[in-house]
Amino acid sequence: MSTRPAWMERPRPVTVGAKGLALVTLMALVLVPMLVVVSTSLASQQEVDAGGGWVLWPARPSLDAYREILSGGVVTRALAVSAVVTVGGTALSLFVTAMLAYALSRPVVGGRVVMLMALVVFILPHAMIPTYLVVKGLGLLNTLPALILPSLVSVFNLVVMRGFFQGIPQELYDAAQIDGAGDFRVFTRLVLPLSKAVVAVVGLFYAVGYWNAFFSAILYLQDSSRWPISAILRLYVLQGNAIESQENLANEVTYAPQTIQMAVLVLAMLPIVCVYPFLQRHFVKGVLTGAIKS
Amino acid sequence: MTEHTVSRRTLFKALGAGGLVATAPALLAGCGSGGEAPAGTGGAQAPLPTFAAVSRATPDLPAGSEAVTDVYLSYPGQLTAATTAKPGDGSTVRFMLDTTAPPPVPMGQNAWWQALNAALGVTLELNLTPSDQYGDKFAVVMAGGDLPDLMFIDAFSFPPRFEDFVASQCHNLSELIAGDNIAQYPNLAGLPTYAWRALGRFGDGGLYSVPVARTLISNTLMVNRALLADGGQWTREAFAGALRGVSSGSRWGLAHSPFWHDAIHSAAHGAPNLWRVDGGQFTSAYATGEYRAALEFARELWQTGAYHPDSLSLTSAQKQTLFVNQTLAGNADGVTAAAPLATRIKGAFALDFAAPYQVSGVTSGWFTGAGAFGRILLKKTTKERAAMLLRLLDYLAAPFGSREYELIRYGVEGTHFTRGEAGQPVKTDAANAQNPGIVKISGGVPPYEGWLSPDIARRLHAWQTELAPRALKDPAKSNGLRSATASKSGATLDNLVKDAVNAVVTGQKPVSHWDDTVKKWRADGGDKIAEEYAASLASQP
Amino acid sequence: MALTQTRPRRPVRPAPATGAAPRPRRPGLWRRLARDRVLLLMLAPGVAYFLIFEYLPMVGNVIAFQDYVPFIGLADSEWVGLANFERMFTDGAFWNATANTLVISLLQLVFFFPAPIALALLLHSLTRDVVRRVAQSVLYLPHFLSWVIVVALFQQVLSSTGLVNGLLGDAGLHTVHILGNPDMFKPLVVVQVIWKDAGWGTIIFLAALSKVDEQLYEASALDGAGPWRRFWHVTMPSLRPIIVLLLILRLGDILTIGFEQMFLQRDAFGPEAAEVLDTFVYFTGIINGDYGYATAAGLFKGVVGGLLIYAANRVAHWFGEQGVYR
Repeated sequence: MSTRPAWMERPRPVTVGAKGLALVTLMALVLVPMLVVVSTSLASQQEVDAGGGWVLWPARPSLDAYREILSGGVVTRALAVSAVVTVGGTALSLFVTAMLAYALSRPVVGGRVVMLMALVVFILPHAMIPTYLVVKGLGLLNTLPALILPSLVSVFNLVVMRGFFQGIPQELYDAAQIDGAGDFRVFTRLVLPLSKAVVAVVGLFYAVGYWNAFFSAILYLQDSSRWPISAILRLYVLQGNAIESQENLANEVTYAPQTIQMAVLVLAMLPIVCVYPFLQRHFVKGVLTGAIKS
Repeated sequence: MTEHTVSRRTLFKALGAGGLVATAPALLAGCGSGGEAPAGTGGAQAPLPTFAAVSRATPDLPAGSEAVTDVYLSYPGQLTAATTAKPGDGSTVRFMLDTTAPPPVPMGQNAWWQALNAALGVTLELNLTPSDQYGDKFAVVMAGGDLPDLMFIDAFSFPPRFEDFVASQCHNLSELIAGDNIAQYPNLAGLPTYAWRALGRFGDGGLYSVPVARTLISNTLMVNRALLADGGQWTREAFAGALRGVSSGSRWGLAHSPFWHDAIHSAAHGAPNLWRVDGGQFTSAYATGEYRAALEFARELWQTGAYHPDSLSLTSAQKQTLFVNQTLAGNADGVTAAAPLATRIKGAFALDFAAPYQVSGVTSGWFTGAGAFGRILLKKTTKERAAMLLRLLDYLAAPFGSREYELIRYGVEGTHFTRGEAGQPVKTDAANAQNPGIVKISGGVPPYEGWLSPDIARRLHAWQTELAPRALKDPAKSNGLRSATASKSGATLDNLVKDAVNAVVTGQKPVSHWDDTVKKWRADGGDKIAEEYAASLASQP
Repeated sequence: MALTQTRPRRPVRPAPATGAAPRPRRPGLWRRLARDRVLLLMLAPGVAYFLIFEYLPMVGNVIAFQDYVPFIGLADSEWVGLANFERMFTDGAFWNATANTLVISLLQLVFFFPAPIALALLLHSLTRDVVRRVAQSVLYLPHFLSWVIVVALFQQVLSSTGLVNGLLGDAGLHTVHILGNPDMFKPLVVVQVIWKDAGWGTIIFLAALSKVDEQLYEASALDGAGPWRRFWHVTMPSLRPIIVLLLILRLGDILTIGFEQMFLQRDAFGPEAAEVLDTFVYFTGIINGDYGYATAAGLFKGVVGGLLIYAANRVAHWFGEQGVYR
């Protein structure tokens, strides 16, 4: 049911039509390839071969690919590791980033210095070997914190969060000051409740970042049983691309069929796809649902 | 034996060079039969391990030469024992290697892994990394300084200053394996000499690595006989005609890739396998007229539409799929890809292996590998531990038909495999998940296990035997030569060539671009590499 | 972001009054530290992270001036001064790669940067709740496909045997040669990025739009403003700060356009068209284990990015925006 507010004009049919067409086209452009990915994971190897590697709709859908990858326990274990790292990492990152962003959005001694510090980090990200040596020196090798700490704060997220915090009008701060609230209480009682949208967005960005990170796992974890799902997925997806060299081709092919590759991909995407709608409501309000009252 | 009398002068010289440990076995080995004599009294080069064939079941289709793979059409009923005692000493052994398979179930719940530990007599800690990131992983491990006991690395992948790394951080195995010393490790002694030679020597001429060996012929040209009928030996023109004939708007003869271009066309036109050696002088294949002629031929093929137009975008997996669904009439690939492809084809057409086409006036070769796919290095440690680790590697090198081989490759009977009617192992569902992933570095020179697809096995063997006399190794790799320039910028130079080959074959650039590229390649390091290889070869025994 | 129509501004101290009243003296450093102690505590974890995991490894950037060999280590690798930079700057392929990178970046700025904004506005203007929620839950999905899959999917559609050519062939039209055609590389990669990330990019803008007070729309509608004027005077100002912020950050990153996407397609289109800075560094530095050279390129990117951020920030100030820092 459309809930158009009183002040809004009735949309012209042309506009409605154009918007509808645009939406349908965009959604089709996205959904059809996703459908192909899912269909390929449900198809048989023969169908996939006949279709040149992809299947639009499987004639006889089967869960064989999923059964095979879930049977070993590797994927379930990897999903669990990913979940732990993602939840823990996101919580810690949000906590540190939000505090940092808030402090930098207020006049604070050294605020400019810290901001410049962050920008330098943004343009000169850390390199692989030196970071590895630092992680090793801290004794974090082969531990899960090694997957979280080296990328704890993303300067991009920091700048976005700070930008949103800066938009909170001074009058609200003045009112809080009159009430005698200290900086931290202002942060927790005033700023955060007003910033559900940006917290949800930055939280989502961090979560997806942790979920998709595979390189740090491969570098810092010596025990391959603790690889997150992103590393497993990468292994499967890259299996079919053997390096062409005389030496390599003498080796036996460990070849994952396209069906299995797509099944792993779907399993890796599923948790985020399920979580996203819950986060969505925090940063999506239409023109209708109004904003926060003072 | 006059030249091996240890005169006072020789001894002082050896002591002066600080290489007494290295020279001693060299001197001793020179006194025995077999093995390779040291090259004079200067820098002593440790002799390669003396080959001693290891006993095992007779293959159904034996290899006539080092280029051909042994084929077994049935699993031996009676398994041999390749080792006499448990190799390990109860300690933990860390082994770093790369993988393309999903990681195994952790050791605590992995029956296969635990069985291996029990059989080996150690706790094996496997540090697996996806092949894609292995270079980075190796770099950080080198930088971090905490080396594992055993390290695997591709045989011809040389990180910068690799020699220095090996000489200073890895264990010199000469006293344990050079010459006749290898006899205490019978399975390692059964590894072919060409594999040891390909790994080369390091530091003061010592042996530092154990090879992961393979037979020489590793790639093949598979053809769809329904589309490209077998009319005997193709001439070049007939080959081009056949490919053209089969190509239409939706089907093509072959897919181009720089590697396969060399393997098929450069080889057929008589170009050498990367290098030609003439009286100690190294000439690059790229500088030869034969290579240029092959480029022109491939370019013609492309222009007549015999090549898939999107060749450069296709991955190996995609090319295999296109071959299976008959979009490609031929597919060049590794020999091990044949059997899985046959399974996918399900008899829709006959899969065969094509002999190279004949170019008039030219003796064509067939490019092969150097027979060593990788090397295993040991961290510098005590002699006792090194000896134990070598015993471990000896166990892992147990040949086909032994109990050890079956455990490493197939696991524990009942849990990971069952016996088929002919006694061959049939994998269970648990097998893949628990496979620790060390199969690729074990088994000595693995034979072709042909009982699942005997037809393919027979044809492959016949094809390899036919091509064996023409097998052409890369003289630099097969002699274990190294060049500082190649380590520093070899990959960049390869890239230059690869891009030029692609541009010329697809018609983006004229053939003159190839000539310019060769000039640039030589100036940017190619000539220097040739010099360095020549020097390296000259210093070899 | 702004709940009022006025531009958001940082709270500033009261300006000194002209006239007889004395200027309030700025409190001493210790007083300010004490006053801000809670805020400083809140800064602490983030600063600690920067120092330990970013600035400490940054010392490692010194390998750009060395012939760095991993197992020899930082301290003992040979010092070569500017040799790595010299080698880089005199390599024609480096400049070709840089040029390609800049062109693709600029194309992305023009075509990809506005796409999520337009999409967010479209979604925001939908009145049916259900439609909007469904659309949002769908459009961001491609972001989660790895580039390997995205490239493979595009190949499937655009190859000679693919969907597009199949349809063209059926209609009797001339087929198009996209894959492997160097002239098509740059448009292709931009289209790929739009498909993959435009939906994901809407999230930030939707969050910004969600902060706009409905009463503003109502007020301006009552004032007689039509949809376009409401858009221009209410919607756009709320988006302006975040757009400027993202633009500045994007400029700071201008020489980084994603390694994997380019690496997968470089060989097919040839290095002249398809080599970008990151793949160039890979094929000249990393693949040879020449980490010093790779780091030199990273420093070059950093310097260029830093200059651009500085310049863009000044321009933003000139337009009255906060920018990334003041």
